[in-house]
Amino acid sequence: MPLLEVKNLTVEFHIPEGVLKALDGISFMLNEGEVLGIVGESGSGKSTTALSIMNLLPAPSGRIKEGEIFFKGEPLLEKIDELRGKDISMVFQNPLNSLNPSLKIGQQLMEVLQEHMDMSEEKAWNESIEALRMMGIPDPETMMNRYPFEFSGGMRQRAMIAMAMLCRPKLLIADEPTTALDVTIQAQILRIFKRLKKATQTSIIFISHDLSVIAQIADRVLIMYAGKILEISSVRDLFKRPLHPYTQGLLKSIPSFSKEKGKKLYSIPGNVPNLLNPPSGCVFHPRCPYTKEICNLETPPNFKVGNSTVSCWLFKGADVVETT
Amino acid sequence: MKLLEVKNLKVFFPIKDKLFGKPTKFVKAVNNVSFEVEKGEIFSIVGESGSGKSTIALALMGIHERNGGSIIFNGAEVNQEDFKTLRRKIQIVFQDPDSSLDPRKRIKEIIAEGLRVHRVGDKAFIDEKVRDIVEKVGLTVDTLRKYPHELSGGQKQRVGIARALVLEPELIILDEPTASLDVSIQAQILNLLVDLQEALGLTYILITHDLKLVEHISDRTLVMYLGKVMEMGETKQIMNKPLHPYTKALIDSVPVPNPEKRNENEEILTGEIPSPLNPPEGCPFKTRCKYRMELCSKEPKSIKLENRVVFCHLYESKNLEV
Repeated sequence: MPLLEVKNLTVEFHIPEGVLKALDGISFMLNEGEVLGIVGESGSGKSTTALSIMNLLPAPSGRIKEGEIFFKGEPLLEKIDELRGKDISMVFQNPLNSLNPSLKIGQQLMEVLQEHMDMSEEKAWNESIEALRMMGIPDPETMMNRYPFEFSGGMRQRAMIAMAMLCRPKLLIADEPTTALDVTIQAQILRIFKRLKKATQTSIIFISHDLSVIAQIADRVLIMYAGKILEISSVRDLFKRPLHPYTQGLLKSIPSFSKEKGKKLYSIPGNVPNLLNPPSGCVFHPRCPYTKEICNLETPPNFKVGNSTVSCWLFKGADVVETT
Repeated sequence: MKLLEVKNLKVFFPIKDKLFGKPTKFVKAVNNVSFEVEKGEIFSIVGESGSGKSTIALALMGIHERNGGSIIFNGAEVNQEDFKTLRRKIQIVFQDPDSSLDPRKRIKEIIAEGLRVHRVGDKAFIDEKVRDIVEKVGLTVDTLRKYPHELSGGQKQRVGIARALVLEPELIILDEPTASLDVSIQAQILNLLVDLQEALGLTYILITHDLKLVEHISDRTLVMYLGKVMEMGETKQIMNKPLHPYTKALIDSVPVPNPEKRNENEEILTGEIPSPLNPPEGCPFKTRCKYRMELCSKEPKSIKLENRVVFCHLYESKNLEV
């Protein structure tokens, strides 16, 4: 049984300009101990997916219109208030916005343990110090008594991950956890995620716009675009033979280290679509080099190709899968 | 031909402990930086946050006053009061077009503003010039009537480029020109910049933290750390065989877009950039450097080696292979 199963999830935002479909019937699952990468540009729905699982969609504009989420086989949203922070936790892009600026780091860590695990103050103190140490924070005893503003960006993100991992969650959702960091610090944080992956059974959803980061950490990858999942592949297959034209375009536009220095890059023409007025048929068809007539008329189903699924008419004739 | 020469540039920011009185400390944001930019090349300045790379850009625009050193443009020494006229020749494209385009002005006014300020031509000339430039950057003429909020991120960055180009500058400073854009749009803007450079014979100074971008696009590179130069030379050479331990660490930190190349145990740089208020004495990188020796508390000299400049004590005796 998969740890998490998302079925036909549709999320809408009601804004003054109209109704925006941020997620349009997406389905995927996550196995125990697996790292699932979600890749997409702004507006693709990758963060909305995370917030839907956490039931933290901004109210009242955002709501789940359709679909279900199962956690260990049971409907998640009824129980999410008990599970959030304990069995399912989250790390955000900007740790300064997600830490309380007026509480010491130590208090914020201990609160989690006392609230969810019913721990004594002394035990919570020791566990918190251990958690900070595991994340490579030097001199954790002193750091417990510091405020978030006294931490550097990298140290704050370490503290956030320590906090998210305190209750040994079954699922950790990391939304662009390295995007705000310098490249040498990003390497350190990625190292921490790699270690977590090895040392714990926690499943991780790792959201990023950066395919290079995803290549380093994910087992399987979802490619999202304009509220849809275009492709699901193992990370190896994705980089070896990307199926969807959008995935191919994304990979080709990475200025790679090994390529000859020709100064031009491959680029995907056009712009990311406006979700208030999404394209008909396949959402990618206005920018796709292989567009055929059918792409404009009908939304492609998920075709099964090898171990991957891809939503593109180029693969018409392959088996169609209902859930992935 | 040399277009720009920067010699021993210093930009310090005063820190005051008290509301009144003299500053007690200085942040040495740019400390003794020298480089030259050839006409027609793409020169990159790379570094992490706090390295001083953007401060150099603003000093070259005359927006930050320098505390020392000289800037020589087209063979003539530039003083602080010369920038008013010089800004026609040196233009800048900022990282975030949202905060660098006036939300209350139409695109046409935004692009034409430079021409008006510098009193270039009459209304008819300006109109034509603006229309011409907007097509050069890949926008349609009807964009001119719009306001910034009506455009996408990539389109706004094209406006930023058009505004820089309209005065026909000789040097364009690109300060993280693609960092705020979506991945699929980044490549479009990069290609536009490369096309424009080839068509108009422009010279770029590219300021970025993105080594992949530098590797791909630039001819020569300057690597900075805490306000100082670490290494400078041809981009290809630096990327293939970095000499300075910091350059090497920086290159090794970039994630490789290949799941087959996952190094779980590779050496990665530990520690963080020290506070610029309290930088280490001597070599600023010594607190994180694995080759650190006693000598490193002294200021490293500029060493010319293998066709480039490197500031590291390791190469003073050249006994050690990195």
